[in-house]
Amino acid sequence: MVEIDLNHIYKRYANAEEDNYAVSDFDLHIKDKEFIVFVGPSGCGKSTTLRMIAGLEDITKGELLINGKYENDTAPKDRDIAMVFQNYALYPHMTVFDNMAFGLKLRKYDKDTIKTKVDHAAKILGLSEYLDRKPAALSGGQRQRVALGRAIVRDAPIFLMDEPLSNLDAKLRVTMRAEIAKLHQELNTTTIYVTHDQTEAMTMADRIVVMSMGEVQQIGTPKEVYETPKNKFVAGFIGSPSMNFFDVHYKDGMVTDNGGLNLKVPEGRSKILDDAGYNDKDVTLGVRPEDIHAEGAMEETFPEATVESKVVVSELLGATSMLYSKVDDTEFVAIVDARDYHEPGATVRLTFDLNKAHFFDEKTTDAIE
Amino acid sequence: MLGSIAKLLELYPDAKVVVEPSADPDDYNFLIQDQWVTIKKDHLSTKEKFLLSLVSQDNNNKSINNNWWNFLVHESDKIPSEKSNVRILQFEVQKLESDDRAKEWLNVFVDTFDDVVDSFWINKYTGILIEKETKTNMDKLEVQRMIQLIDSDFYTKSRVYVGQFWPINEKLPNIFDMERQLFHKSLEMKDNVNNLSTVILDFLIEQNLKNTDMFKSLKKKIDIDSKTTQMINALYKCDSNLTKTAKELFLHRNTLLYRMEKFHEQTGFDLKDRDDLVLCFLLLK
Ligand SMILES: Nc1ncnc2c1ncn2[C@@H]1O[C@H](COP(=O)(O)OP(=O)(O)OP(=O)(O)O)[C@@H](O)[C@H]1O
Ligand SMILES: [Mg+2]
Repeated sequence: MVEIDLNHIYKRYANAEEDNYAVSDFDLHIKDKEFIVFVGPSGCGKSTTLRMIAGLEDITKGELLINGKYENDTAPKDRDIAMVFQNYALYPHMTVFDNMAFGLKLRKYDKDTIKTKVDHAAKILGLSEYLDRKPAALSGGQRQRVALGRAIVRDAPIFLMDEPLSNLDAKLRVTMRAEIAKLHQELNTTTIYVTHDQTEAMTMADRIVVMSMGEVQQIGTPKEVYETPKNKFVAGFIGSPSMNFFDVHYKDGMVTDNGGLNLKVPEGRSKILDDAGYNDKDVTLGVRPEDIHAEGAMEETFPEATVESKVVVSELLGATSMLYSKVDDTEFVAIVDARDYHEPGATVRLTFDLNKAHFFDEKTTDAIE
Repeated sequence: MLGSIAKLLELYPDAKVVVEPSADPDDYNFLIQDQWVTIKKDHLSTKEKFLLSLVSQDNNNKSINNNWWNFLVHESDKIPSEKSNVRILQFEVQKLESDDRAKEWLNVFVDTFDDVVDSFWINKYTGILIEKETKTNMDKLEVQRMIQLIDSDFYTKSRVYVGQFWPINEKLPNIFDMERQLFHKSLEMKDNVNNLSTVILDFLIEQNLKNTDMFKSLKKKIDIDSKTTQMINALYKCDSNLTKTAKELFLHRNTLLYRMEKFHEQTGFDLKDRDDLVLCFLLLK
């Protein structure tokens, strides 16, 4: 049983300028056996945070508690943590067995214990037959499994993984994703997983921590960050293809932009905007591609939220198709049924389901709720 | 000499005379007149650190009885007899548990290379590995992977500067002087494994520009916030390809263009212009 508390953690690197924090005010309570994913663009502070938990970077300010105990100053080797890194390198001259056993040998475990632990890990990972091989004689996936095995043998209750799949090809990545999820269920470790891939975050996490420029933007389940993003950054980062954003003016239940959009906001939503004092103000409208429809039935429901637009680029993707479209100068993407596929140049009537729309303050970029 | 320490404390008010060298990796320790003095690393420039490392008695350099070391630090003119080209890898390892662990660490590190001429610690944290040029030398990324692997077994935090391959002749010690400075500079960089290409810009700027009034004033005038920093870095990284850059920043292409235009108006620097972009990129350093 492990719980981790990150209480208002800050990190400033030694050579950074006075107020330049790589991570600011990171505050998170991680529950036992939880699978937490840190996600965000390059440089947002994911690895730094992970390395502070591992003890590889000092914490500048704030406290790290593991099971309620203050751990800021504990040496990495004394924290019950196993770490899997981005690069799945192995010692080339050692067998698979020795690669997995090496950390334990350094810790002076006896031979029998080491054998039991390695055999157990090999069994979980389906590597039992390969224990005598050298890494060069393994496939990419097998090597990545050995890398996981090196962490599993430590029997640590906390797993930290920093982009463990980013160097794999797309197909292998999908397989390994499932494997890591399965492993988490079997081992019941509390896991923190770092990625810049939002799909990985959405499919693996119990809870996602979305970060940008050293700051936590939102913490929530995949469903929460997808359906109720707290700000424009989260809205644009989570979901693929990204949410469409429109700079619009809101007035008396309508939103308009200079580029040809003129849409009626459903009553429930316009009330929220009115109550928050946004009547006759500029706001940012966000609509996910899947909430823009080409079926006639939708137009009947929302006649005043339908626009005539021109297809610029289109892609057919099995059951759906993507229409990159334009109304005057306003560009956006719609994901529609494959039956509603249109060639570039075609004119289509597209309906915005504004019940599912998001509104953001133009300046603070916070969601208007 | 005692007077010199007093003078030093005057120049560096946060320097301290201590009984034992501080174990804090952010501290820089050196031995003067058998007294340990410690200074926060970020209060020293690369040049100052390098100079200190030369005058400090700590180096244990004197006690390193190694032909290669003596040759590299100009202590001996005897050129090691080695026909092939060599490169020098300089490393710093933090959080080692004991001297025995340090030995094991170095053994494992050496084992990952094919053809090591010599390897040794020069003090508690730093050491040297000299490797022959072959057809299969590891590149920077491969060294980085090995270091990550070793660090995960030893719970250490290591940094390596991978030197270039050089013929062994009387010029090598001079080249090594320079590589030592580059290694010191590389200790401040984000990535833990570096080489000439990754360090040179930061190094030159610190040596020649950073403390000039022109550079400082320019930096102040432009007052680059974190959003702009990201934009400039991304443009540089994506070779000024706007579509790629916009994607990298999760921005709409037009939003990016708008921000670049605004920056142009405010500062006079046009990020679409290659030279202006490079200058702004350097200003971030
Ligand atoms: N050792 C270091 N010294 C100085 N600055 C650093 C160091 N490591 C990271 N940084 C800086 O701290 C910030 C956060 O970096 P970090 O590596 O944590 O980001 P990340 O989210 O893991 O990014 P990536 O997706 O690229 O791995 C960046 O601005 C980076 O340049
Ligand atoms: Mg990272």
